[in-house]
Amino acid sequence: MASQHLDLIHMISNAGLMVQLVLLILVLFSISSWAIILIKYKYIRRAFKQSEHFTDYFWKSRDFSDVYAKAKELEGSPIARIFRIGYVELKKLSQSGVPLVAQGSDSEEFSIGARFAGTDNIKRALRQAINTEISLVSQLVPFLATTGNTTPFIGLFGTVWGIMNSFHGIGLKGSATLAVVAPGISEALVATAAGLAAAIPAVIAYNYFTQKIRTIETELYSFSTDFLNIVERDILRPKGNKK
Amino acid sequence: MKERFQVSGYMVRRNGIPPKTLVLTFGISFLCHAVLIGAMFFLPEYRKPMGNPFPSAINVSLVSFSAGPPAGEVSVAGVAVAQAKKAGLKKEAPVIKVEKAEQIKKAVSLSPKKIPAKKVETSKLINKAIKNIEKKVDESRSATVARAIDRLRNQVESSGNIKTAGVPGGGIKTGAPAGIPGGFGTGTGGGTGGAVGAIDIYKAEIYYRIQQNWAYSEQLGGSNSELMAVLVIKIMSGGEISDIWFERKSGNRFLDESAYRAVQKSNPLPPIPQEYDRPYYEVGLRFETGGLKQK
Repeated sequence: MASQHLDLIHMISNAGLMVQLVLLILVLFSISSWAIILIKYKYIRRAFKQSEHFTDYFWKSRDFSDVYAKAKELEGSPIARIFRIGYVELKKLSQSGVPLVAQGSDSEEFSIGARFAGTDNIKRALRQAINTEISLVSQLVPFLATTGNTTPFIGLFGTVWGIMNSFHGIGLKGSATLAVVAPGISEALVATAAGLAAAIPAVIAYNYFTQKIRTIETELYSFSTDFLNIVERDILRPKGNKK
Repeated sequence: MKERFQVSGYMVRRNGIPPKTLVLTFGISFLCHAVLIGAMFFLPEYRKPMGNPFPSAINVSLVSFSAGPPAGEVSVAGVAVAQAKKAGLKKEAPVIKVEKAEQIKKAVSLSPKKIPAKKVETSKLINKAIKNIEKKVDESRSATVARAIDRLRNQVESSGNIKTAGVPGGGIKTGAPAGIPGGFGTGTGGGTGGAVGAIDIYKAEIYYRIQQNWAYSEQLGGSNSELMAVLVIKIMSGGEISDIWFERKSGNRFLDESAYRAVQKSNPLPPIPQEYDRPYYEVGLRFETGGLKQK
């Protein structure tokens, strides 16, 4: 009987070429998706930890250059990186910003216009930085969605193909007892099992990561608003008001 | 300006995933997969349930070459030769087909496993049966059957010389001499690869035991051919049957019940050999009337 072939290793080696190919593809998918899960998990955990640390520091210290030094330390935090971009922009503005600080005494309108121009610059820089950060954070994550969506179908394809072949074989043999039908079908079903095994972690991870990424995004936007507020209120205006 | 460029460059470098990390993580992932899949292949815990999704099956088929249902007789599977003898004496010229002779051939070829009795007696009885067959064959179609019987005889002779340790011959219902497990059906279901020797012998033992206890009357149950009931039994290591269920009912209640009762009567079975390391053993039994009915 066929039961000596029911060992898993025999089952796979006896399966058709197409089923084997499907299994190979599924294994590759699974390997990549797990690698991405590992990478992203590490990345996002680090980002959360360091961002928390950085925000604490940011709100405690009122000296931007200190915060900047801290932000350089915390490379993993997207908020810190955003702050750095904003700070560099601000610094550049104040260095080259001739109309903003040095000649702000001439007229009120000029100073207001310059002020707005200054915050606009920073705003643009921040927006760009946020976009970059978001794309960095969500990098590779779509692959998880692809894995989650397609591997069950790939597995199913392998199964259908295997069953097609086994039924063809049955047709040739002319007998259809359970003992004849079952091994072929169980061989073919390995492909579906593999597809599901690849898809389930990928879908779970995808949902987890998208939720985390959304959180990071929100944090980035709220931080950039806070930063702009502070810049406008505490840095640009006092200087403008001094005249 | 310079600083800004530095920062941008820094960002791109640091925050895109560095190839080293990528390779490393893929390597880790690959390794984990390899270990997991390897474990599935080689660990016995994974191997057995995965590798053997169907309990191995034993055919308990009724094999006979009597033309019709012997009147008032409780025919027991596996006593084909004895039955044949009776049929030969009682009936007048039943048509014997080649397939049937083939079946006997098979049946006898399997018998050496379990011939417990002295070989002289066995071969004598079988020879007697064969003589009866020959007598009938003379009356009915001859050439092909004669050839088959020649083969049969050869096999009987050769198998008669092999003496194997088997199950002590119990009382067989029809009163045929013990130790002629004549029709051993179409053979046992395959064992899994590996160390199967002990379990195969064990399966044969179970098979024999249950066959002895199986009483099926065609008159009561009908002689519809191609009926098949599949029972699965779960044998604990001590040999007691802890569970019996139908994998497939034949549709004939009498056959189903007789099969069920045969298994119940056989409880407890001999203990599972120690080579088999799982706490219980599941085996499927196929009860067939296949060879019984003349078409």
